Amino acid sequence: MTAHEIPPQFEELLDQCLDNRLTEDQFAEFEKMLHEHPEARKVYYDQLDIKSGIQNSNLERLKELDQIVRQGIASSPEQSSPPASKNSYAAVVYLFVAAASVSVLLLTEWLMTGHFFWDNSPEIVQNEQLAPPEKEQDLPYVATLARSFDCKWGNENPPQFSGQRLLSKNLTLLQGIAEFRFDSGVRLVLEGPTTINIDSANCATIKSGSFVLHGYESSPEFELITPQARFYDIGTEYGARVDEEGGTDLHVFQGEVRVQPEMELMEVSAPLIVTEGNARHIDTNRHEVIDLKPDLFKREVPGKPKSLTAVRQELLAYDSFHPDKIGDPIEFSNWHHSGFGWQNPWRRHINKMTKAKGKSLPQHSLQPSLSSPDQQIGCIELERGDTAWRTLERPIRLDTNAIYYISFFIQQSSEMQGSGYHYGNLSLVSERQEKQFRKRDSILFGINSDNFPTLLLKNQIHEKAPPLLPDTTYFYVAKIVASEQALDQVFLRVFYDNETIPEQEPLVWTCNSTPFDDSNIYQHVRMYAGKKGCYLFDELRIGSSWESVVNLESPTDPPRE
Amino acid sequence: MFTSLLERERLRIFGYIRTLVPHNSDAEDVYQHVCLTLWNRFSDFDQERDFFSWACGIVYYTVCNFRRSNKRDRHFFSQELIETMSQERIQHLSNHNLRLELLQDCFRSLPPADQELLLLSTLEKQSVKEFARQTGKTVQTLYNKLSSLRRDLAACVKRKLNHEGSES
Repeated sequence: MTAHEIPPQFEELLDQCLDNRLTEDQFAEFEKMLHEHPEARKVYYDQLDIKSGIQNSNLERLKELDQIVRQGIASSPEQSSPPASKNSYAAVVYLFVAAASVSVLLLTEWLMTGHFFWDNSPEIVQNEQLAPPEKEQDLPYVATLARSFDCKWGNENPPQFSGQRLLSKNLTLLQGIAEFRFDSGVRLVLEGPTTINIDSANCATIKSGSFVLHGYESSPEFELITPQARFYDIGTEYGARVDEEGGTDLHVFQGEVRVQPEMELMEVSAPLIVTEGNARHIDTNRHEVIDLKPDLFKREVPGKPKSLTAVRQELLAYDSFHPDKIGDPIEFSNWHHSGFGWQNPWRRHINKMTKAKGKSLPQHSLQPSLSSPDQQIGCIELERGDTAWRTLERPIRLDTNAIYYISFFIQQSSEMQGSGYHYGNLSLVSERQEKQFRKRDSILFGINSDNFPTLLLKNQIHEKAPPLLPDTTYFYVAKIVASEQALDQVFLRVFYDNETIPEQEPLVWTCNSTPFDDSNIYQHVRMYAGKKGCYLFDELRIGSSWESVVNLESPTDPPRE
Repeated sequence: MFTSLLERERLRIFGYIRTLVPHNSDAEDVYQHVCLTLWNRFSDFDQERDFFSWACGIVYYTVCNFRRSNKRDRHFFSQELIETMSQERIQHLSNHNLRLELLQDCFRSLPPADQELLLLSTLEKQSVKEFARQTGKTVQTLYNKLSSLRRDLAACVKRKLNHEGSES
C-alpha cells in the first residue's frame, strides 16, 4: 500500500464519525488514518461539508447558538460572561473553581509579599505603559536573506526561509553559510559562527566571525564596522575574519578597501587603502601585512544548480493555454482546462461555472522560439472586457512566511489602440471583499492605458516609464515575499523582447511595492482586457522559486537532464 | 458590523471547528466559546484583515484549550493532527461557498427518497432507526446507503468543480 492509498476501512470509520458512532478503539484507528493519509483528510473535510451542506437545520442551529451567546452578553454588564451553553452546571462549577483559585493566589501573594498586586506603586505601572514592545512592522526592510546552507541561528526570531526580507536587526549565525543581499546591491556571505547587526541597506556591524563582501558598482560605499576598524568597499570583493577580541584579518580579492581604524593605532593614524591581492591584520596593538589566503573563506553559498526535476516540483501551477484538441474553427478550441495546479477551468465569473470568453490561438505562441526548443504552442486572446477566472489548488498565502513567483507572457494588440480602457492585466484575487463596495483585494500586474507596466495592490500604484510597445511580447516575472509577523512586499520585473532572463533573480526590478501589511489568501487568478483592449496571454507559471517560473521548458515533458 | 461579519462566516467557522472537534455537541460548545471571544475581542480586529482568518486563529486556540480541559472523557484528536488539519482546512474552506452552491445542485438531482434519507441522517440517530422501521430495512442497510449517497454527492461536487465549465 502506498502512502496515497486510503485504507478500505476508512470509509466505514468516517461514516461512524459523522454519525457520532465511533468506539474508543475505532476513534484511535480513525485518527491514525487521518494522521498518515493526507488524502483521507481531504475526504474527511469533503464529507463534513456534505453533511453540513445538506443539513437544512444547520444554519438555524448556529443562529440559535449565536442567540444564546448574545443573550449572555446582553445580560452581563461587563459583556464578558461565558456562553450560556447547554452545560450550565459545568459553567457554575467552572466559575466556583475559578473564584476559589483566585482567592488562593491572592492569599499566597499577601503571605509572600505583604501586599496585594493592586497596592503596587503607580510608577511601576507607568513604566510598563511607557515601554510598549517594538513592532517589527514599524521598521523598514533593508536586506534579503538570499540563500542559506545548513544554517542554525541563535536568535529568538531567526530568518525562516531563503528570500525572506530582513529588517535592521541583530542576527547570530551559529553554523552554516548564509548570503544576505542588501537593498543597496551589496552581497554579504557569512560563515557561522558569526554575529552581525544589519544597521541599514548600506551598513552592517560584524562583532565576530567570518564573512566575504561582494561590492556592487552602482551602490554607495558600503560601510562594514568591526570592533577595531571600519571598512569601505571600493568596487570590492574582500573577506575578513574578526576574532573574539576584535582583531581582524582583512583579505582583498578584488578592487580596494579603505580602512578606517576605530582607534589610533601605533602605525596607522590615517585612512589606509588595502589593494587587490593583499591582506592585513588589524588590532589595537599591531597592524601588519599578512599572507593573502582566499581559501580561508567561503566566498559563495555552496550548492549546485537545482535539477530540472527539483525545479518542476517548485512549480505550483502552470498553464500553456494549449488546447487538448484543436477545434473547428480553431479559435473556439477548448483552452479552458489546460495546465495543472488548478481547481477548475477558466470561468467568466469568479463564482459561476460559465466558460470564460477568449479566443484560442492554438498555433501561435508568445514564447520566443530561442528560449526553448520544446515550446508549447498555443496562447489566448482576450478583448473588449473579456475576463477569465481560475482558482488555484494551492493559493498564495500572505498570512504565512513564504515566497512566490509568477511569470507570464503578455502582448497588447495595436488594433485596439485608442484613448483609454485599453489596459490588460493578470491579477491575484482574494476571497475577502472590501466592505463598502464589496471589491476583492487583489495584486495586479499588467499594462495600463498609457502602456506603462503597472503593479497595483492595496492602495499602491506603481507605474514605470518608458511605455511598452504594442504588438511586442513582454515577459512579466513577479515576486511576492509573504511574512507572517512582518510586512509583505511585491516586486515586478518586465523583460523586453530578446532580453536575457537571468538564472538567478535580478537585483533590479521594474516596480517594487512599498512594504505593506496583508494576511489575505489569494486563491483566484484573473486575466482581463479593458473594454477597448485586446491582449494575448501565454505560459502562465506560479512557483516557489525564481527558477521554477523562468525555466521555459514545458513542465509536462520529461526533463532533458 | 460584528453581527454581519459573523452572519456571513458562521458556516465556515463552524465547518472549521467541526473538523478539529470530532463530536458535534463538543463542536457546538466550542462554537459558543468562539462567538463570545470574537465579540469580546472585536475591538482588536483589524478591519483590513479577513474576518474568517482572524476567527480561525481564535478557533484554533479555543479548540486547544477545550481539548486540554476535556480530553480525559471525550474523543479528541492529537495536538499534532489538530495542527496539521487546522492549516489544511482553512485552505479547503476557501471556496466553501462555491462548493455549497454546487452541492445544492447535486442534492436536488437525487431521487426524493434519497434526499429524505440524507436529511433524516442529519437529525437525531433515532430518525434513522424510525425510518428503518417504517421502510422495513435494517439500520445498517440505511447507513450503508447513506454512505454511498454522501460519496456520490462528494464526487458530483468535485465533477462540477472540474468540468462544469465545459457543461455550461
